[in-house]
Amino acid sequence: MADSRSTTEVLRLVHAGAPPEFEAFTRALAHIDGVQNTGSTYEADAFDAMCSTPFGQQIDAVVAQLPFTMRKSFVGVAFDHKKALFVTSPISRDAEKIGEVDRRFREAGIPLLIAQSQRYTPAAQTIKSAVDSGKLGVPGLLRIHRWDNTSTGDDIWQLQPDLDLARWLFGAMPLSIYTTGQQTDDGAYHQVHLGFPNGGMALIDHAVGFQGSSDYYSLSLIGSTGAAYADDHHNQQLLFGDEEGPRSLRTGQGDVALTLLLREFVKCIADQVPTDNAQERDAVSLTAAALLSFENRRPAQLREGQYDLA
Amino acid sequence: MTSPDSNIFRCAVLSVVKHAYVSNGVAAHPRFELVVVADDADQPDWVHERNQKYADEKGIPYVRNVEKAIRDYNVQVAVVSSEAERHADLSVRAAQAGLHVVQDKPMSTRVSECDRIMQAVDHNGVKFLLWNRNGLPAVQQARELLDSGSIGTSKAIHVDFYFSKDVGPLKGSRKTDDPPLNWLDFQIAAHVDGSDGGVGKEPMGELQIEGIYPLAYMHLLTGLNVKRVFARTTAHFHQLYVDNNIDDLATVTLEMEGGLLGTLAIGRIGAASHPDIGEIKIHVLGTQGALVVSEARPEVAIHYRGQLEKEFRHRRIAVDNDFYLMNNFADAIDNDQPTVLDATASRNIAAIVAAALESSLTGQPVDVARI
Repeated sequence: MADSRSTTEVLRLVHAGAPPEFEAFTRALAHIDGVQNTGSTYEADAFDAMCSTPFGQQIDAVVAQLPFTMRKSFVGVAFDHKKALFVTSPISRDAEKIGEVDRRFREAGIPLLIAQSQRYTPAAQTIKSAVDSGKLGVPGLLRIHRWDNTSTGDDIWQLQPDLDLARWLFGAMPLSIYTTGQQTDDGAYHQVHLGFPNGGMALIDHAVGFQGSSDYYSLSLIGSTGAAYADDHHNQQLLFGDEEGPRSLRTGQGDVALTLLLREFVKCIADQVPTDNAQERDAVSLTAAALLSFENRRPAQLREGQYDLA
Repeated sequence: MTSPDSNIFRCAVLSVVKHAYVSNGVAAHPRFELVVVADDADQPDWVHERNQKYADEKGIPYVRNVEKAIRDYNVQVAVVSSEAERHADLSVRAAQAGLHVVQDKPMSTRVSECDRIMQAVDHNGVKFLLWNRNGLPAVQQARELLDSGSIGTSKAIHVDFYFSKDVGPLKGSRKTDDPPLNWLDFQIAAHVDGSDGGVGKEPMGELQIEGIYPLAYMHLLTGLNVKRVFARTTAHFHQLYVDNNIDDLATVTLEMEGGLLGTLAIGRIGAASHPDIGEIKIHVLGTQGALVVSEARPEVAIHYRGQLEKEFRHRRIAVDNDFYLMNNFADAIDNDQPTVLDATASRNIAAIVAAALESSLTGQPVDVARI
């Protein structure tokens, strides 16, 4: 159990996920002191069996980067075996259930980190730092375009990481949400319009599956005294010599986001700091409100901590 | 319809109180000649002074009687660049006199006045062009790419339209005992640095003043009408906008014909927020691809020691918008075609803006057809 260890000891982590995620995990973990990569697993049942072995009993924590449908059972196994758990967001689409899971882990003294990876990208970290420093003044307008051809999901829950990002950058839950979109054979598309208590606003659009629109991301944040622009358009490189003509290429950003997340997770375990996943509950509430608005073609408004149709 | 002995259109400038980019743009085309500046005699002194100054610069007379100037100078085109609330009156009178009209934005401060222009233009069989930026090279390239089917059928279109200019003191800078900033006084004083885009008695937010430009892009690129809008507005940057209860920052969700969706982000975001005039971008998502366009490009970067802080580091090149617009206007007259932004399209844009402002007040989506 992680919280019984000395901080000078090495933490043993196991990964749960597919090979590409495991490779990224391995690369990211190499940046962190005092940790050992003990291998990988995938199914919750296999992890359950592993934990019952002498090898498994020595594992301090598990990093689960699994499809959404597999996360719930993995959370249960980790809790049963008192393993610190890093799990990719979301683990549920019910904010109350997330709160219950969070409470159980906290009461049992088991670190739980539900990872909102979008917050940890180099761009988001840089912009949040500028916001927190006061250089940009009061956040006024956040604009995000995310056109994703690699995601498998096509529903509105794909917006959750960016809705979380908006809530994080404004430091408050939006008062109003208006969602429009369409799901067709060509792809799924949603756009969300947020209004914040300080009068600020956000526009987030997300496309999945449209041919030729893969992997484009743009974020701009306009504040009262400054602005930040993180834009794939600006960051594209050009490749010539291709038979099909010039191509634009985005320069990779390595495993910075995962490294930062893992570092935070390891610090929670080592320092025995109780984890709090309130941001995950907020993000799920926000996404559920976006869905409510979309299904009813009306804005949802925050009243007494709950989103209802306006 | 040109002057009897040539294919030159003789133009009357009906008030030129704002920066003179419209009348100068008209005059830059070889088929259009400014021959007189005119305005109503009962206008205040500052209006006459500006009109007179412009007439003197151009070496043409200034006549304090619009109808007399139209009668006496054999003009075929009116160039209207007055205070915004007088746009419609001057354009309607010009159309009723049989003149084609080139008008500065916004079309009017009221949709009912836009309707009057539309009816006058239609009834008198003249052409109307609302000044716009649709001829910029990047916008034209976007249109060509979309028209050629490069990205299939458009599913969503987004425009960012930020002007990184300051407009007087920052929000929150007014002391308790200071009076609110007067809109017209401020606009008159701002003429010196060209930040008087909203000159007139009636305060106008950025959506009303500048919304025409990005919405005209959408009109050009999609050809579709907007059916419903949802909007948020705020005065986020400038005390002038706070004092006059208007927006300097706004976002609009647009639901268009055929299920096309869109958004507009617009603001006068302050000089510190961008190294140049501001981020102006167009994103179009299609069934077979997508388009991301920087409206400012092509551009050239110029940096040097001692460069003034306010000097833009990036300079647009190959800009031919004035010629594009006036060539389009001449073609429309010659061949009885619609202009690139005619009275109907301009009126529809004014209705979108009005619907967005209503939505921002009510917190509800608004059907544009109801406006």
